[in-house]
Amino acid sequence: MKDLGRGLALARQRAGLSQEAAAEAVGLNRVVLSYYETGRRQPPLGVVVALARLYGIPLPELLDQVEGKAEAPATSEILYRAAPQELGQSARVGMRQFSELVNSYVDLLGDFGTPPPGRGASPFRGVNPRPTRRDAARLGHEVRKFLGLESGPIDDLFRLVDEHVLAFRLPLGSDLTSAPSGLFYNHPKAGFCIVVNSEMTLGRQVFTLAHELAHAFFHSHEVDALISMPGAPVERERFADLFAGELLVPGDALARLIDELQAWEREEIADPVVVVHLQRHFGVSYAALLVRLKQEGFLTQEQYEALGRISPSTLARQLGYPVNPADLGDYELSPIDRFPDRFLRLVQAAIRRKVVTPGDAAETLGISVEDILALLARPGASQSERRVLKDLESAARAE
Amino acid sequence: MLVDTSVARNFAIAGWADYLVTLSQGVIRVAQGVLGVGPDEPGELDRAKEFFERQTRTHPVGSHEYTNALTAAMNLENLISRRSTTLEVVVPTEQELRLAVRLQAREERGWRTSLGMRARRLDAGEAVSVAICVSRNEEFGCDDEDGRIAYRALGGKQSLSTLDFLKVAVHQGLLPQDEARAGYEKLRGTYRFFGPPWPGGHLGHSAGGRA
Repeated sequence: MKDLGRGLALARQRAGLSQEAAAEAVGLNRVVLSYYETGRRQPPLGVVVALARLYGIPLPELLDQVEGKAEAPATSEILYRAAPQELGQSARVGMRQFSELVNSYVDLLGDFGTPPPGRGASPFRGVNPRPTRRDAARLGHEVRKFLGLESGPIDDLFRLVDEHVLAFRLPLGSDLTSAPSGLFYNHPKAGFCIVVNSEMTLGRQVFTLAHELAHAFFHSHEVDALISMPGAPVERERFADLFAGELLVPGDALARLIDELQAWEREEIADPVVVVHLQRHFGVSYAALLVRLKQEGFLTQEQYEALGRISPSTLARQLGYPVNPADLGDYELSPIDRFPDRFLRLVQAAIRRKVVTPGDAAETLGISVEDILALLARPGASQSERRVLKDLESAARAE
Repeated sequence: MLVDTSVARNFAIAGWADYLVTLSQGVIRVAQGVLGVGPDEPGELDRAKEFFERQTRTHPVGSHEYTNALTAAMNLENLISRRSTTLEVVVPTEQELRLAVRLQAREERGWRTSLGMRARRLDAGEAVSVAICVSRNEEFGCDDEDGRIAYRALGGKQSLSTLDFLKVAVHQGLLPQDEARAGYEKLRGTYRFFGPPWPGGHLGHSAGGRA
């Protein structure tokens, strides 16, 4: 199968991916991929399928090695162009995976005869060109109200916003001095989509999701794609950071809780024990809480830096708290948690209807069949799940 | 006889790999992709093992979940380690690969529907398994309904599910019925196998599963 190998190599080069990045994306050793590309070994079909998806080329074309037909998926091209600087290989792979996953989501909707939602429209007006911290606080409150929240802690932001955005957690690179922390894309068929870099700590992932929500709700009037990475336009990024802080830890709620804890003086607030209690209340990472305390003027730069040197895990243990997963650097994300709940519910429904086999679902999501079987065994449908399933049933009946 | 991932996985997890070897006349045959031709090539059985290994890291040591996951991971490793001895990885020919692609590719959905398949496509391991069995006129061990439909529509002669294999094992006296039933129900309950329930009553002479 020397021709298949040549086809694989050509398609990879056209996609602008290194052997190493492509191999890692499909769970291969680089040397093994080079064997496949040079025809020394025949690749398993599953690997060929995964590579075809990554390269954005139909499987029959890859096998027949039709010259000049390998094209990058449109979404990843748009995202590449939206990046403020050259993207690393991991980011390129992540964006291609995202592109393929969104296409699969739209395809699955099609299998149910359900039209895709189309381009997203924000329920909020855009922000003025130079928004202030007060604007961010006001809009943070508005979004909380829109999401049905008051000023308390947010349990699971990914689940909470699922109805409004498709939020994926995919690897975009581990060196955050050059890799994106996340991206927003208003997909013409799937609507608001967000990718959060899964190589960050859980706490930072949640903060990034809130940050990208700001882009979706307040910047989507002007742009369809925003990549949050060094070099991105400062004003938008600054506002998105302020908004994220306000959404996760509202300033008024923070002040009220500090009152309740009777930490009146700045020195008392700067006590790490107080910070950890506040962190636990809001359910955010230690680092995110420190940033909020500083933004609200409860900490001086000096105190902020001193508190930043403390290990939150060690402190939590000393106080008898379990270590917050948001503070763990080596947090192991379950493969299934990389995908939006809405997408997973659609996959569940498709398997139950026998439109999709568990193996096909596993291939589509790039995970194991065992993960899919575990997904199918999840506890009964929640209210929102029942609503989605009802919509799907209606659409299927109408077909 | 060639078996798909599900049959191989079920017999492995239940600790019955030896029985599957016997039922397969000495060598279990699986398609490339169900298992890699070497340890450096990913396969579905490796991914299943990795899933259970991950489960052992997320459940407390000593819990039921931990013990079940550890057992499954060890038993899968026991099967995988038989590669090149009593577990043969069959590499498809170019013609078989092309047939497998037809069972997979988005563009061939109409053809698959004409075969009677309900699902939009087969996964790669299943597609290659069907293609090899059809092309080489082999029996097919398969739990996937659409895999069996495609196999038969393409001229395949006989397919056996995990349950069919167990019926044969009981019939041949390899496994006591109570043990087979308990193991099978554990696969369905604890290990989320989606096969049909064990039939009521005692398995009679006709329980061989071979048409």
